[in-house]
Amino acid sequence: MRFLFCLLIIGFSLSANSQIGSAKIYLSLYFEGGHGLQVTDPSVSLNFDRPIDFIEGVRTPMLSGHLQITSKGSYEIWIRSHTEQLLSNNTVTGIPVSSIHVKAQNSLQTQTVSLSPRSQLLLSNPNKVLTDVIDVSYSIPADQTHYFFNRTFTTYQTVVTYTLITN
Amino acid sequence: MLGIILSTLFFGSLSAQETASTRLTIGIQPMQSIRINEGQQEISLYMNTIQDFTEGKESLLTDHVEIMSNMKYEVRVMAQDDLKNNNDRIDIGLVELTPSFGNVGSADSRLQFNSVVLSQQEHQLIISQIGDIKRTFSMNYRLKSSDEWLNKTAGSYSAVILYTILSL
Repeated sequence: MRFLFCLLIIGFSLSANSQIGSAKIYLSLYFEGGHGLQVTDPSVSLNFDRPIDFIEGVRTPMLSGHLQITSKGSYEIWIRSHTEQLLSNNTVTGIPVSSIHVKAQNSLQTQTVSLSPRSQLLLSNPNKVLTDVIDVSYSIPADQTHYFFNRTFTTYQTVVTYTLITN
Repeated sequence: MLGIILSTLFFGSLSAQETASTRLTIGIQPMQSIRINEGQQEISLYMNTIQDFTEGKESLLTDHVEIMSNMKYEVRVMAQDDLKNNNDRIDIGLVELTPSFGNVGSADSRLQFNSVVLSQQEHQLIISQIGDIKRTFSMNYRLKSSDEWLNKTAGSYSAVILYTILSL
């Protein structure tokens, strides 16, 4: 979150010669409506630990307040992944990031998208709000777990980037 | 007193944007499971007729074994002991198992089936070059005809059979 304060000392006067003096200062403070976006969980894990995980899929709990938003007005949150496929040791794996779904909800709506390297609108809030929080859950649905079958037992990663656009 | 407003600045824009990121990591652990159909935990084959003694007897148990493996696997089978009725024994080698595809999981050429004559040593029954989220196998239990069936005390002979799943 960024706030910009502009402190302007407009002028001052001093009477240097008189013993009984007075001074006045005009102080003007301009405040730019701040906007900001913070992801409170710098890393998120999804794990296939049990056979049933491959049958039913896996999901994180709803991460409360995963995105913290400061806005001077309405806002939109866009989402994209850095890669088209999940990486393992910085090598592409053939597993599309679209196998991962992201469910987000704010006070107005709930929306689910499949991850993509293209930016997608995740959520918006047309109302003027100063702050807002978005809860997020990451999942691999049951019909996508086959991508993780017959795989090396290691970790697969991507970076998810959220973009806040305020109006 | 001197007070002069020197200037005024205005900050503002029609829209603005900011980004933030999180790293998403998916972990996969090796896992396998095997279980026997709950309704088929005990198998009974009855040698009742002359034909049973001369030709043997068999029973096909549909979806008898259910497995899960997220890697290539094999299923082995062994008997804990011979067929026993108190102190009477019948060689477990008279029992032959033949696996086949069950109703869960489609037929796939990457799976190989072997008929196994039971013994107290493990034998490879199924070999799969792929993992399966869920697959069942049907099993044919066959009692071969043998003179050993003759002159045995009438009664129930039983043995415990163990199925094991292993990664390839």
